[in-house]
Amino acid sequence: MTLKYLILLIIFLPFLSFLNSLWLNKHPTIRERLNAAIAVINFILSIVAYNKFAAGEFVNFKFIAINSYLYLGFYTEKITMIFAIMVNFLWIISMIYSIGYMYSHKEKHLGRFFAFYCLSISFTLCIAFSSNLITTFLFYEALTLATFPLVAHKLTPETKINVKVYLSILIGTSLLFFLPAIITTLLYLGSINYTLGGLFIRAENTNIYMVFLLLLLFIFGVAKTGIMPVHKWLPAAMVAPTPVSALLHAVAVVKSGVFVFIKIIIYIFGIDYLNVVISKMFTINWLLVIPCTTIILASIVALYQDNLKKMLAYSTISQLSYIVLGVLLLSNAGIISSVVNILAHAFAKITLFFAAGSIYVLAHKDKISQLKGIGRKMPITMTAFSIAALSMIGFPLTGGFMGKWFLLKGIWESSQHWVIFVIIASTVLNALYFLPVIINAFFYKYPENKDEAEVIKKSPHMDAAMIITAACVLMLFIYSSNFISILTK
Amino acid sequence: MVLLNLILPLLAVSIGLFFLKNKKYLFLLTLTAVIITIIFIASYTITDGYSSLVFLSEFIYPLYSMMLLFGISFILGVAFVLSQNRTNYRELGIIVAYFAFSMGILFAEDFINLIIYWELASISATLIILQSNSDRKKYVAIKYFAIHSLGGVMLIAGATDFIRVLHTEVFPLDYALNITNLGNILILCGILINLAIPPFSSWLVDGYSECSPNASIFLSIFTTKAALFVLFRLFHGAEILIYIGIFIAAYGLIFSLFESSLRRILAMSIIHQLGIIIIGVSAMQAFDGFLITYVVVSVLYKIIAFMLAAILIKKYRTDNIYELRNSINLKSVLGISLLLSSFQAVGLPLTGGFVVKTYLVDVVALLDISWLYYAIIILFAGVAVNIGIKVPYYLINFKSKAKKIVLNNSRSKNAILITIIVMLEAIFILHGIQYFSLEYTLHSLEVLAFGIVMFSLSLFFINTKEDQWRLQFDNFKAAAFRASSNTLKLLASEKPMKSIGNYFNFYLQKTSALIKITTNLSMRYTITCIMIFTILLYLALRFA
Amino acid sequence: MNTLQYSFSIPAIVVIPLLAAIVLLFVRKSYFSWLVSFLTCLIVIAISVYILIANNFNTTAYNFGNFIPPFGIEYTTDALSIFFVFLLSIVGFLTALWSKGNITAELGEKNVYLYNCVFLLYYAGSLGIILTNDLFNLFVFLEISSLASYILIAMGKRKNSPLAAFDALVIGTVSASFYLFGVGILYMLFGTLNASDLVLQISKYPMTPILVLAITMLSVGIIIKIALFPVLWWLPQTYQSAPSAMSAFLAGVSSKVGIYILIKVIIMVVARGVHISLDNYFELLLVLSVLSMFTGGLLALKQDNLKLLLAFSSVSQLGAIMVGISLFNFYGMSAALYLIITHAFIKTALFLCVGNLIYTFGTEKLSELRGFGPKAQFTFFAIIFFSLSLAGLPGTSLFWGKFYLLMSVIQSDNWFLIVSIILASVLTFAYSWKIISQLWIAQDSSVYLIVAHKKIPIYMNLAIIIAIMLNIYLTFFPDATYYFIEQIINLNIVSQG
Repeated sequence: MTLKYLILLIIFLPFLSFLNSLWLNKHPTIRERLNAAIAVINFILSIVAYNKFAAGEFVNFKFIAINSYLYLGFYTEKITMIFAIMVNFLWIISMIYSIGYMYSHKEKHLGRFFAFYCLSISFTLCIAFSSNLITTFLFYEALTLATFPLVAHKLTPETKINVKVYLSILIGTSLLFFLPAIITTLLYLGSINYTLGGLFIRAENTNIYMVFLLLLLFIFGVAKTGIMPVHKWLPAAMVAPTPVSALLHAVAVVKSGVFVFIKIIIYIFGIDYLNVVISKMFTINWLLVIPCTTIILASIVALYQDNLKKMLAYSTISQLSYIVLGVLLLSNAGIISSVVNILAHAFAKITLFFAAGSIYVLAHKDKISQLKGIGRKMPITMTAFSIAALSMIGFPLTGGFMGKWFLLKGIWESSQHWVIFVIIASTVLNALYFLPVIINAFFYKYPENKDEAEVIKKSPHMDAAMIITAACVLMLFIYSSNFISILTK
Repeated sequence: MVLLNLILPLLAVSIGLFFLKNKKYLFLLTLTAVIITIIFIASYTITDGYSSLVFLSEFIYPLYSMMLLFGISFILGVAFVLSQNRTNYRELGIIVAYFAFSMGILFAEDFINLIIYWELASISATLIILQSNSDRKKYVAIKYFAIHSLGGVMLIAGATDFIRVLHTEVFPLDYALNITNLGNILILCGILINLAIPPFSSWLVDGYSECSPNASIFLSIFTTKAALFVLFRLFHGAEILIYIGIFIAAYGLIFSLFESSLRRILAMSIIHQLGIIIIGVSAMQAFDGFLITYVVVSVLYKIIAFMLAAILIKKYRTDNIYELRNSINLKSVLGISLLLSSFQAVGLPLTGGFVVKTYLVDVVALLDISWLYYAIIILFAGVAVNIGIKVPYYLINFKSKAKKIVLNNSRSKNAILITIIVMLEAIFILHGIQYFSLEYTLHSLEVLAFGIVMFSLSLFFINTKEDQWRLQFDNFKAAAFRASSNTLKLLASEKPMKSIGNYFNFYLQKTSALIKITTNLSMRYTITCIMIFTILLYLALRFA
Repeated sequence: MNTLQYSFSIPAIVVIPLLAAIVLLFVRKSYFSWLVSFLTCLIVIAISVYILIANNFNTTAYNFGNFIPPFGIEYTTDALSIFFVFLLSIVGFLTALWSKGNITAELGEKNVYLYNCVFLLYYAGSLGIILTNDLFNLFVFLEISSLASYILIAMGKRKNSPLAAFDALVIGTVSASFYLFGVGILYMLFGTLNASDLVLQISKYPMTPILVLAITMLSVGIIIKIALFPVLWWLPQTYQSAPSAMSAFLAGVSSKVGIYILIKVIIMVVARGVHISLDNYFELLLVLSVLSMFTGGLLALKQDNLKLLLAFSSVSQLGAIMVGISLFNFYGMSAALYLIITHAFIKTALFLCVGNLIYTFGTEKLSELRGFGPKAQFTFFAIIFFSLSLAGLPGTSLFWGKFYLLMSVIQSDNWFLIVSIILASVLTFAYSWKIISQLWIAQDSSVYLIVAHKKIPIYMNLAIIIAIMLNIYLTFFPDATYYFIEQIINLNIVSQG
């Protein structure tokens, strides 16, 4: 089977499971099993495709074309393949987790839930494989809309307000900034395809102010990267059930945003071109101020949150800006650090959210102050949480450490030394807000309620999911060298 | 080699200690830990061909003695802990792991190993603190871990630069890192944070006083001394270390005057000692034996001090030095050992402490800075004030007439331990006798006299029972902290921008009301006609 | 100019509906009347397809009574006309199909024949406007279609329908009078009413104030018909008060015809003819269009009545289309034409869905319709589909048009314009989302909704399904349409710079 059909299958199969979830609403067991089977098949296919790609095959095809420069296209590329494998793998894991969660929580409307879950995955994969900006934009918007029914799953008044914020910020920024940026690129450079080395190198007489304007428009247009002025949608989306928060807002939605941003910087602007332009104008790369502010401010806000999921949301915002920072450093090590951080953060954050969800479902607690002693009762959950938290802090032996390592390397390479202090401060802040949770959980006694006999149930699905992802966090420390060697080729 | 022979077995032992509940197995496990350590030390000795404490190559000798020091203090400490009635085996397990990781720091040959063991040691120390029964343990543990992560990430940042520039992560063998580029400065800062440089030193004082008394024996040794060793390796001879050392020692000295808790005083004196050793490091052009000896001496008398503190706290359930007044009999094993260790600390002649202090003064004199001599004298005198005089003064009951010493079982085991340590110290005393000379004796008596004078003066200043200075300082710190956290809260509050939304709504309503008026039928006609007419007029004027 | 093999097919497009209307006037059976109107629409579609295939975007003329123009009246089909004929016929087809299910319930059995008859008259009149090449003939058909529309509006079930019809009558007559006045002056100046002839005549003539007056009169009439900014208030009233099927048809047709007239008269005749550049004129149009975009959008946000919301959104979209036309470059014109066709389909379909809702629940207010989803699932999904399409999100047919519009706007390098267009598209999304959010999110509070008719007749659903399929076709295969549009612009509209 050629690579082209493999890619088509990888993109199309989750859509099939979307339909499956809608139609087989009456037979939940068959539906879950079929979805799980499709997820596993997709993962295997993505590994096969990756092997083919590593062997040297390459594919680039068009789907719907209006004219020569406006079309829906897909292609294969290094970061794409890694991202696709990660999304597929985490889809399987989160399927296992969602089954445990939704059934323990006795949620309704599961057909709609799983349907749009799989639809979001399929749109994420489409974003991953897209070969030009218009395809990306199309599926980017579609992803927002596909996640809307998931965020609005529980129809409480609080949900309505938050969903409004979620949608208005995401769609507002993409209509106000992203779309005009794409169109301006098309008009001034003649093409919106992702090309090696960027589009700007081929063009003559590019106005420097236009370059900066486009950069700013893209930075604020792709609001899914969680950059600080346009970040409010992430905490607002925490009203969703936790499997949604876990997969989508720790992995699929935010990672696709960051992925799109990486693609834009590398393949539309071009690293060398941007280096030349910025070094001509400034000695300090002022663009870095945006992610640095986000990192620090988001960590400060996370310190003061009592709701566990909100704290994790702000922590996500902060960690995403590591990735944005890595790209904007415009050095090789910086880009490697971004990709490694994508992987490390995805696994760690998904573990954290899994833990938060399992605490919510099994012990009915969602505030950090209520978590005293819960580690004694739910040891697997809290151990996984601790491992993932250590990864976020940047402790050695976890994936997050590799990300920080390369980020620091990238900072030295691009000689923007002031950023080091930002990283140092944010590490300390990370430690400051994760540790209270862990300490509360393990080093206090669980307050036994004398009136009711509280039985904290177990859910084997959720435990299994968490164990797998925590183990991956640890393994990433060792195996990230694989990915790095691919990227540097 | 270290990893396989020492760290992994010890890790296994520690995990076993942490989780098992059957007492027999626990005892066996601790015994295993001790045996592993002994075997490792012995094997290291034999395979590397050393059979005595002789100067050999520049790096092996200090490493060997540090390793020996760590190993012996670990064994002694474990023996002390096991000799008590109720041992917290979970804590002991983590202590074993902590010891293993600190040995890893010692044996690290390159940055990556160093960083891994550094962070692992800090996290195990945090876990040790969390095993205590204190109320403040959460706050102290978070502070400990946060500051150590700060140091760790500075170390990582500097290490990445080092690796990037030199393309190797192995420590440099023949030269020290020079402190001109940002990377090496960051490495230095990272190490110094572990050495309790003052803005970031509260982890040490709080950590060592809030953990359980047994654990403070171990905690006080490993982190700081391992960091010192790394400082030796990387930055020996750096001139800025003089000033840093003086700063640290002065801080330890001044703030320990206000302390009233025994363990906090001891912790402050650790800081002070660290400062002095750092001054010594700056004078070293190569590794030198006597500096290591200084470390060994100070560690040994710290062990005694903390063990005594553990015994006292357990018996009298208080940490306050004024409440512990006259608690140790002069004529008991404890009393004598405390006196001896105080003498070592002060540097009385005939003790090892004397020798190393004078040697330090000699070495520093080579640096040829005039005022340094006086600075060191003052600092030594400060030590004399605290440990040398203050602690024994309060703790020992000089007037006891008891001749016979009554000890119960556990006390006897402790007594045996302390006797062992005292015997080790005796070796140093003999060493000290060997180097006796009159000039130096007078010198040190001068120091002692100065110290006594300062102590008496300090007694005037410090109102003993109420600790008002300390309270005032604490209040000031608390106010500053509150102010900064209020500003942070303001930043973090993130209220939604309701006012802008309200404005928008307001104007929208007004405009739509206006429009609704005009959608009245007859009004519409008139307005339409007027509009059409104005358009006509405009067009006509435009085109004509 | 080629000649078609069956060149009488061109007038047949207009004649057949007229004849059918007359037949229906006498045969007053309701089912028969519907059948006739439906078949007429089908026949018109068939004829236009034939003309397109046979003609291949070239221009064909047919002279009435074999009188040679400029004396005689001439009908031409060029790419633009065929485009609009397609549009009209498909919209008419959808409406006719849909109306079978609804008209009986809405108007009563006795009036069905009347509705269909007048509908055919309106249909014929609009087609006539599009096909004719003679300016006065255009006025005649304008009047025919307008009068028919007034009757149709008056048939609506709302209390103020007759009043709205009267309103429309007054405004329509005013606009037609302005138009007539302009045509009259042109006739007086040049002695010809034929469009192609007029181009030649005007190019020989200098720009005098009287010519300016003529152009002004023409423009004002057309602007009123299109419902641009100052004079847009008649449109929402009209859409709201008409019967449901008629609202749909009006939404798809009435202002689009106005735009056709604008393109034909101003751009093809005047712009090609006069010597001076009309930049100021187009600038004024641009300003008016932007203002109407914002007015429509802002007012749509405040509406509770679904029909009024959609009507104001029509105003806003018409403003967008007019922006494309006023920019007068390639992207602008193609954006405008694409938007015309997609907006027509989407708006018609939305009004048909609203008609469904009125049929099922008897109300069109959003506040009363909350959470009707489980009770009328098909309509629910259809409304969501079309609202998303209206928002112009990528993945819908309107998006391509918006894309081209943005391209043309950015190309014009006018920052104020760019920002305002972007803000207006955000507004569009906001009010489209308002529909969806009101209907979906408040889903659990639907206890008070009374169902008038439980089952929706198959015709209504069928019409909406066909509309959905058309939309999907336009989304995924826009290349055919764009090719068509390129031909239009290349062959018929020469931009003046």
